[in-house]
Amino acid sequence: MKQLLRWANPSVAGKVAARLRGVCLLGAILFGATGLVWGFFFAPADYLQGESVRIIYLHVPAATLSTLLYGTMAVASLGFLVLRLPSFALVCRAVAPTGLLMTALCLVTGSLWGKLSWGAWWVWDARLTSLLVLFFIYIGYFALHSLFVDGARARLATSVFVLVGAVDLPIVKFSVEWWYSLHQPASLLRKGGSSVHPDLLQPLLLCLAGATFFAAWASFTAFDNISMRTRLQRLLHPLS
Amino acid sequence: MTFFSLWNSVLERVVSLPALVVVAYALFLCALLLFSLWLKREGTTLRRELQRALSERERG
Repeated sequence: MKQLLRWANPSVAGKVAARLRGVCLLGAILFGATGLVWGFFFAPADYLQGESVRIIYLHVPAATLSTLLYGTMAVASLGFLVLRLPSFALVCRAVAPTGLLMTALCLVTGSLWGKLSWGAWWVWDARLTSLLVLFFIYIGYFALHSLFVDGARARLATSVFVLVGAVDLPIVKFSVEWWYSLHQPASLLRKGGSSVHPDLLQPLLLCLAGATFFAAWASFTAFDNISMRTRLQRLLHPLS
Repeated sequence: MTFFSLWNSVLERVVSLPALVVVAYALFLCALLLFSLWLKREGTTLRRELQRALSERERG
């Protein structure tokens, strides 16, 4: 517990984040570039979907990270509410912009893929609708945070909001099983292993690794920026 | 393989794919690049402002 509390110190966490940032950026470029070039130029076309399947290398990493990052926010919010350490709320704020970006990219690439596969840009399908709700939850998080002048109140309100919003995560995940859906069922993380052909799976895993490293780099950078802004505000307005 | 033959084969591959696939890749990469630049720029601005505030405080 003592070790955990040491890591929860914003200055210690900031130093660790600064060290890990370079590794994460390198990983993002190496894995991401290899996976995307492999997927775009060399991976085979799907027997049913043809060339449009290449959007999988963008859509699946974005979709996975949109929920994974929100999950991280929910865990950090729970940590903040239980332990009352501001670092947890700081992690939540640092992760949120990348989560919003990934959710937006998932919706856009999904829409383009939908037009090619289903002939429609958008359908009010359970998976699509629950992900759109997640997008609005991310927007709501930023909107709620901007409402408060007092940092402590903002941290408390947004942590509760994020935890309530986490109800959407299992709905996103299981929507394709609970309701009749145009969206295909889980093909990567499912019982009995992945159903994706290895020729498509290998570049997909590289893209997933690249996107994860990118999200980590972006979150660490945002963490650093928030820490600097907090220090700057304390210097400029020491009494507030 | 020369640079131009590589460039030609890249372009041939791009035009052989459905336009929406190319649009998806372009949008995705542009979004990641712009987001990274925004984060870096914000960091640079904040670092500069922080240094200015610290030096002003030292000067009293």
